[in-house]
Amino acid sequence: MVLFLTLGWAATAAAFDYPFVTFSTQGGVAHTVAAEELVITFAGGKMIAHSAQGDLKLELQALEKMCFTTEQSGVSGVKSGSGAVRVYSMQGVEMGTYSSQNEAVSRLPQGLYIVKHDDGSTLKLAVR
Amino acid sequence: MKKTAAIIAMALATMAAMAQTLNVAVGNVTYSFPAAQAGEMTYTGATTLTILGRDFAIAEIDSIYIDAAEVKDNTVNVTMAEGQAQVTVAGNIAQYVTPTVTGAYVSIDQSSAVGDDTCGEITYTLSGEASDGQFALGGSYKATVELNGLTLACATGAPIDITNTKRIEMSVKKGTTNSLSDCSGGSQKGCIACKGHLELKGNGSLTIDANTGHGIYAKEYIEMKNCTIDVLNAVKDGVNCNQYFLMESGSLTIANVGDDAVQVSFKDDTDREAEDTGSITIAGGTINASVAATATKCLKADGSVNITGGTLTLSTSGGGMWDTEDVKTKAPSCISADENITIDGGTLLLTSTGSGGKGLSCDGDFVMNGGEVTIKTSGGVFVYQNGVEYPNYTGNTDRIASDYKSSAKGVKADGNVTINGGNINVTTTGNGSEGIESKAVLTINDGTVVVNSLDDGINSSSHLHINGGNVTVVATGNDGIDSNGNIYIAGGTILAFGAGSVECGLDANDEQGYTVVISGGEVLAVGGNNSVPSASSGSTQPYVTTTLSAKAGSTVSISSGSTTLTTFTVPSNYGTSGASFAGRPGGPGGGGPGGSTGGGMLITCPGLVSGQSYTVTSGTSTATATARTSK
Repeated sequence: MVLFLTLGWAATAAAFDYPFVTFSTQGGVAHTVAAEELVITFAGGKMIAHSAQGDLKLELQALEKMCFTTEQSGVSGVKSGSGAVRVYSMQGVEMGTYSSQNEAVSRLPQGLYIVKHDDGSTLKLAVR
Repeated sequence: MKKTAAIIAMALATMAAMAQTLNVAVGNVTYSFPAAQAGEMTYTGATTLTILGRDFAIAEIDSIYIDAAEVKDNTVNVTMAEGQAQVTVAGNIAQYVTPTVTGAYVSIDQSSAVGDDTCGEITYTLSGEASDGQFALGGSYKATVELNGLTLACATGAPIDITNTKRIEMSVKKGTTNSLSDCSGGSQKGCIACKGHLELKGNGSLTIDANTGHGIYAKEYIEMKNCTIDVLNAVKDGVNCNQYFLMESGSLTIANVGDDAVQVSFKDDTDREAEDTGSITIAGGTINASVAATATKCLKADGSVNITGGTLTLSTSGGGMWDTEDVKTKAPSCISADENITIDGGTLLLTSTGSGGKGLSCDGDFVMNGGEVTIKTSGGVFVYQNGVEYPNYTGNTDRIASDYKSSAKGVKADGNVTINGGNINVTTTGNGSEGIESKAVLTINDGTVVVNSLDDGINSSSHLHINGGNVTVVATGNDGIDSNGNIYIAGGTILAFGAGSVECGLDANDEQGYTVVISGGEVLAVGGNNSVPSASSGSTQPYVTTTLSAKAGSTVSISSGSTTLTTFTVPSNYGTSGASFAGRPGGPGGGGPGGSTGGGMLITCPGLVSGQSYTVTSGTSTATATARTSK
């Protein structure tokens, strides 16, 4: 189980040297989304980052920069939908099932985790 | 467990090696930034996104997406399609390249900031197919343009229009076929028009269809290596450039052109750079070129033509013309140089069929050091008289000024002709056509020279020297070897046959006080009245003369007692051409089929002793002659 989960993650986010793109807005707030299949568009004064996690919308006026990162920083890009997630440690130990990714972030101790959504997608999640 | 860990490690290692690229799509242009290079991408004023020094107006960005596409630094890919084109720019040069795409017309402005201190040379790769499109490239630093399977026609100009004035390497990619066609009635100078110098390379093939001007034009030099280029049609020249044309290898075919196949001019007549030689150099490769218009050339250089290798098959079929601007006749030539022609190697087959047509023609010297040269001309004399062009004049041309007439010739040099090696075989069959002519001094030091001509076989306006080599000349309508100065023979083996009557094998300008000077070599001269050394000539090697005739295929020998000093074999075609000499009304006729001359025979070879009698045998006839050193 752990093996398949790990390989699944490797085949997605970890396929790139930089699994994440982090957007920084005024005030030093960072927003991170998975780089996999990321598409960015601009409309209505906003930058919209479409990723497997859902859409991240940021005001262009507040947007200062973006960059590729190897680790998730700040709050992960919001996964659309509120489905339950299962969280595993990097060692493959199941940490628990949460009603949403946000709940997992709020409950888990600081560390790096693998999150599996109910749609089968996985991502690497850093909780700070 | 270890096995599982190994699988995981391998999977991670494999995935980690994948490329990762951030692509900024702006219309039909995509700028591709490798993730590792992108760094901090900054947003400014809600209007501008800057990546690697390239400012993007956010309003113009269609999307930004990430994929696993590989990006090679310093590359721009242009893919043509019907009515559209897609351009991809490597991120590291995004700030230096500004593409504009309208339909399948792609214009790229390469920044003047491009140079050794910034990104270095950029490669533009073109592919795809469009019936109306163009690739235009500006800039001031060298660039490479790759043709990677491109079929492109342009309805408004040149399909490839390069205004960059520096070195452009155009690489026809290995295994690809490429085709370019331009519009008619345009203003473009060539189907490929380049204001810099053009280096054609690669192992692919390219065909050119030029409907306004030249097939390939470069304002500066053109070099060619490896690639196969076929100019199948051009209104003007097949290839036209300034400075020089150098072909190292590859294949160049030129046909259906309105002017010359390859023409090179000086870029600047008054302040020439070192490379502005106006020359054509062929070091290797294959050239097949044919031209048909009046007075056109296959290879034409304002400077010199140098051939050191390669296989050249060149033909002209046009005739002569009257040039009202230069006030002189102009005639076609397979190879023409305003300066010198030098042949050090290679294999050349040159054919000229029109009036006044020549194999090799230069205003300077002709030097042959090696190679295999075969020349065939069949045209007659072009004459311009009283406002009328006579493409095949048959009247007497003796009193027509040289500017008003042009005879066909195998080789014609206004300067010296020097043959130091190689094999040259010249056949001229047209009215008044000569084999090899120098307007100055003609020297043969070595090599094999075979001339079959209707008019003079070998002719010099000044002295003529033969110091070595094998020389065989059969002239069916005039002299075999004719000098307007002295004829110096110091070595070699020479068989010279004139037409008979007064047309002889060796003809020095006796009327003007010149003579033959023999100090070595073996000579059989047959004809009407061979020149012989005068008493004051200083000639040292004795000779004999007889009235024996020679017959095609027979042998001629000279002996003293039972000792044969030398034997000559008369060429099998001697007297069999059947050609008539109509250029001089009332002049001598040809040798006639299987015929022989009724004139004299001169023989000289080492070992002859003045005052001693020798037996000359020609076929089955014999005669006795006494050797002497002067008449």
